[in-house]
Order: sequence, then structure tokens, then C-alpha cells
Amino acid sequence: MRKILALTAALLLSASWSFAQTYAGTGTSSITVSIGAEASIYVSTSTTTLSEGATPFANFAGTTNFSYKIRTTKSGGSGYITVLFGGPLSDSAADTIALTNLSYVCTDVAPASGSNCASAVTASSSTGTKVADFGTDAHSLDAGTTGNSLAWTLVNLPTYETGTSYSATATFTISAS
Amino acid sequence: MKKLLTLAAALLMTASLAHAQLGTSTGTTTVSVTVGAEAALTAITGTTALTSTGTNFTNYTGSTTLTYYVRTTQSGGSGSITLKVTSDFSPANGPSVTTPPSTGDKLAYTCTISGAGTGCTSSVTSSTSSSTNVITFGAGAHTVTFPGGDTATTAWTLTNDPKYYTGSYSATVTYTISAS
Repeated sequence: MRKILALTAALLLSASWSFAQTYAGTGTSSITVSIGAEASIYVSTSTTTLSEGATPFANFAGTTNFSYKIRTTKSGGSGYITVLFGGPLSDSAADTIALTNLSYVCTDVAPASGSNCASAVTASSSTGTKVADFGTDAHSLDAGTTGNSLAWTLVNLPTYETGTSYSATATFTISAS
Repeated sequence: MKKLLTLAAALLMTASLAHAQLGTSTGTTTVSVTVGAEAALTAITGTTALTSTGTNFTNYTGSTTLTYYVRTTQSGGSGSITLKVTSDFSPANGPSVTTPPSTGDKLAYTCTISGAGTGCTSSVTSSTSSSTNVITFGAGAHTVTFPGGDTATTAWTLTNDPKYYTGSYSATVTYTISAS
């Protein structure tokens, strides 16, 4: 019985020490978050239609519009946007138009830089080609930076087979570090 | 205290997981184009001078060269290059396509091509009332030489009729290309 009482007393004493904290009018908690580099892109032109110029065999042209959100690292950060085709332009009869005939020029809104595509860049299905570059500590508008575009040009060669519609998927990729 | 520390640690862990991504995102657009039948002419000899050699009323001859581009529909397509004398020789009293001074007087041509299509196979008499054939294109015809273009030559022959008054005369010939 004495052992049981002693044990009980010891337990009660331990419990009271466990809750011997300070009660006060205020208390604090430290809330922390780690902000990292981040990027996202929205291609608003889901189908970019290339239309022929006014004169016979004038080049085809069209525009793809996009906006982006980006945050690059404050020191040593960077980012980019590239575009990569899944394959040549093709129609339902398996006729193809080589991507070497398709090029683009970019219009980028700061903080994006379009220096790598200010002159015509040939489209590719083997490697992504530059659409925009970002430097250190780059920040877009909170709602996204709009007004960016690619102006496409497709040479109008007589050797193309006539077709109802040739198409290819171009995938834009944005990255930030 | 232990509970407070445990909760704080959980919050920190959750926050870092949420932003552990590199920030890569993708978007796509489908690039599309419709390629149709098309045809164009260029580089036509501006002035084709017809000349005669000798003194025994040898016919006048000369050549007009033109450059053309064509793409006809793969299946069922066709096309052509034709010409028509849209303005007969003037002034009067010289050669005439519509009302020559002698029956049998004519302005005729033969065709030579380097490129797509089939040229006229024999001499063709030109007309002011209807177009006459230079080149015929079938289905799936495409310019062979690009960007330079394919070429065609119409070699003219004008009857040297002694009834013509001496002087300089000119007519206008209009070439038309089409493709479907």
C-alpha cells in the first residue's frame, strides 16, 4: 500500500511538473515559409492559324500569344522559355512540311528578354529553341505578364502538296531557378 | 511545449515541401496551315521584237519567255497557261490577227517549257477572240525549280505579207495562269 501511494504521489508530481508552464496574456509562434524560384506559362492561342499573304506564293504567317508568371532566385538565378515541336507539319494524308521552312521572331515583355529570338529562329522538333530568357531576381506581374508573342513565318513552296490542313503541336516550356 | 514544437516542425515541413519544385510548366499551341492550289507568272519578256532575215519575205520570228510557279491539287487538280491577243496590231494597214490583209496570214506560236506541265505540241494560231493553250497542268503538278521558277518560251511566227504597209506595229499578248 505504501509503495502504491508513493508511486501515485510520484506520478502526480510528474504530471504537475509537465504542466508547470507560464500562463501569460500573450503567446507567440514563429511562422516561416521558404520562397523558391517558380514559373508558369499560359499559351492563350490554342490554335495558331498560318494565313497566306496577298500575292501568289507569299509566305504564310501567324501569331501565338502567351503570358507568364515567374520568380527567379535573388542571387544567381535565371530562367527561360523554349518551344519544341512534336514533329513536322502533317496532314491526314501523311503529307509533311519540314520544320526547316518554319521560323519565328519573338516579342517579349520585361522581365523576359527576347534577344535570342529577335531575328528569325527556325522551328525544331529535336531541341527546344529559345523564346525568352530571364535574369537574376526576375519577377513578373502578380497576375502574369501579358503581351508576349511569337510571329511565325512559313515559306510558301510550290512543292508542298495541297492539303485540307497541315498541323503540328508546339510545346512551350518555362523554367526558373 | 513538446506539442508546440511538434506542431511548428510540421508547419515548417509542409511549407518547404510546397515550394520544393523547380518551377517548370508547359503550355501548347497547335500550329496549322491550309495549302491550296496556286499559280503565278513573272518575268515575262516585256517587248518581243519580231524580225525577218533575208529579202524574200521570210516570216517574222521572235520569242517571249516567261517564268511560272504552280501547285495543283493532289487529286483531281488541273491548271493551264493560256495567251490571248488582247490588243491587235496597230496602227492599221499592217499585220492583223483579227482581219489580216490576206487569208492565211497569222500570228502563230510554238511552245517550249522547262518545268512542270505539258506545252503545246504543235503550232498554235493566236486569236483576239479566245485564249489559246500554252501549257497544261495535271493533278499534283508542282514547280520543279524553286525559287527561280520554271520557264516557258513561246516562239512566234508572223506571216510576212507584202500587203503590209511599211512602219512599226505593235500588239499586246496577255498570258494567264490558273490552277485548281
